[in-house]
Amino acid sequence: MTDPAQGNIPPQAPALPPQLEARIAVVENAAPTSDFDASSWLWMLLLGVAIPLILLAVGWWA
Amino acid sequence: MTTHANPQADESAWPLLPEERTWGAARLTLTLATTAAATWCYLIGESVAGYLGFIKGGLALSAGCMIGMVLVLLAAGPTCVRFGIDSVAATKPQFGSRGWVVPAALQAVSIIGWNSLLIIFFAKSAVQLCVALGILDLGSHNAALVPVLTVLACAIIFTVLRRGATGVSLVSNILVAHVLIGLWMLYLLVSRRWPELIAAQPANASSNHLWNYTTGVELGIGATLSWWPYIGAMIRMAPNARTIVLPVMLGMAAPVPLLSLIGLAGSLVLKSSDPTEWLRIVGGPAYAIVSLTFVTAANFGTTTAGIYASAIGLRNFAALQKHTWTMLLLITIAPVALVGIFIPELFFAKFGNFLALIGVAFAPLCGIQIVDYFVLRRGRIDIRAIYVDAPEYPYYFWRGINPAAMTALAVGCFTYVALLNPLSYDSMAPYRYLTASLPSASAAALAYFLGSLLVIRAGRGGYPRK
Repeated sequence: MTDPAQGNIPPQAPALPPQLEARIAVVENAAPTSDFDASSWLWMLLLGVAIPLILLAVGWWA
Repeated sequence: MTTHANPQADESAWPLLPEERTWGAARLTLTLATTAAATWCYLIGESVAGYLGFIKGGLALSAGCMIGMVLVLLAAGPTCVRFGIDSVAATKPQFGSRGWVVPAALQAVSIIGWNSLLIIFFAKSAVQLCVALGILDLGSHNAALVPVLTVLACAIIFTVLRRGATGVSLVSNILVAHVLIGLWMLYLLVSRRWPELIAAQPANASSNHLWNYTTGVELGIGATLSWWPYIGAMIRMAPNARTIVLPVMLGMAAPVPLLSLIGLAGSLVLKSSDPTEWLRIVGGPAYAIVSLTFVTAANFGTTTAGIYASAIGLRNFAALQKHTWTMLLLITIAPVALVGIFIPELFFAKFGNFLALIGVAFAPLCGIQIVDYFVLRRGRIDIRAIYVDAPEYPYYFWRGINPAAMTALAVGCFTYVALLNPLSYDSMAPYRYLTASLPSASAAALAYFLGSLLVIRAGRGGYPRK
């Protein structure tokens, strides 16, 4: 089995609607969109972990 | 090959082009806040009020909501915002080019269920509002108006959503004020009934304080996990991952516990989570009218976003790709309208079970997606393979299904039910220390990781090799 994700021989693609094909081509060729950056991770850590832990601690001893 | 921005792109499940993803942080925050704030907040608050007092309940619920939201963000966020696709399309790398119908079914059932509930609330609130304004007389015949108003609401939502995501954003811009009205209602109750509020005891509290506290957290996590079906359709309109974090955490996670405090406070002090009832007691008929307006607006905004997200999710089915957007909207709205017309009271009675079932399904789903994206694939997603169902493509796995994901989902659901029966609330000892959603997500993630090692060894799935 070939695997396009590993850069092997590209398989023969089943026909996709032309508009979808065009969109995929644009997305594939576009500069990779960055995942979460450092500040995003910081906010997630703060709002999704640190503050909930503080709220839990405050609530437990309230 | 090149293509151009298409004004109808947000009516398909296809990837959005960079120039089509124009929602900034402010627009996304408004839309998410309007989507999150609805009558379910009172019901969540009422559930917590059964086990915890105002301070403890508010803090436990807030913590739970923020924990649940970060799980949803980590699960669906990266793939959806990177390629401009919805929550359902983002499950294809895990569940396979055919196995994705399982999360799609979860999404459809969840959104149709929630929307049916909210639209019934909408219709009932509208009837009450008309009575309060003197447009209608009090009387049993008003119950007959609920189905009529349900159909009317569905018709308005249909009209609004013919503009796609722009319609959702438009509704949000108009209705976001209701969040502030909700906070005003909370202030009213807290400022006038503070001594009673602090002294109030939860009605169904267990003798084990830790169990009560954990249940408050669990209800918060479960409530925000139910945003998984909605979130992809919204965040895909944003240009990059950096843009979505604060809108999701502040626009979606924060309003739910804040507005749930209304239900929590009302249940503790006045034994009713419905502000339309207790605002009349606290402030007279004028306040009741404001409250009814709030409830009506809140549910309308959320249902609009829900129908949109559901329609986009259904677009992933090949049979529905060729239908016009108008037809797809009709298909999506029809079940909601039918529930509102034929079985509104029966549906109301089953709300608790419905909320519980949602937590069971979405926690493991999030665990699977997180470990797949961040650990196994290390961020490498093949966008073409998401849209091609063929053996030569990596997400075909075996006959289009990844057994590792299916097994992991079952393991996660079993773990949840073993720890906490979502219907009876009978629990096993570890629940009080761990909640049920977090172990469920962890067990599913571990099962998926171990199963995927076998999948990788078999050369399936398109996972990057060292």
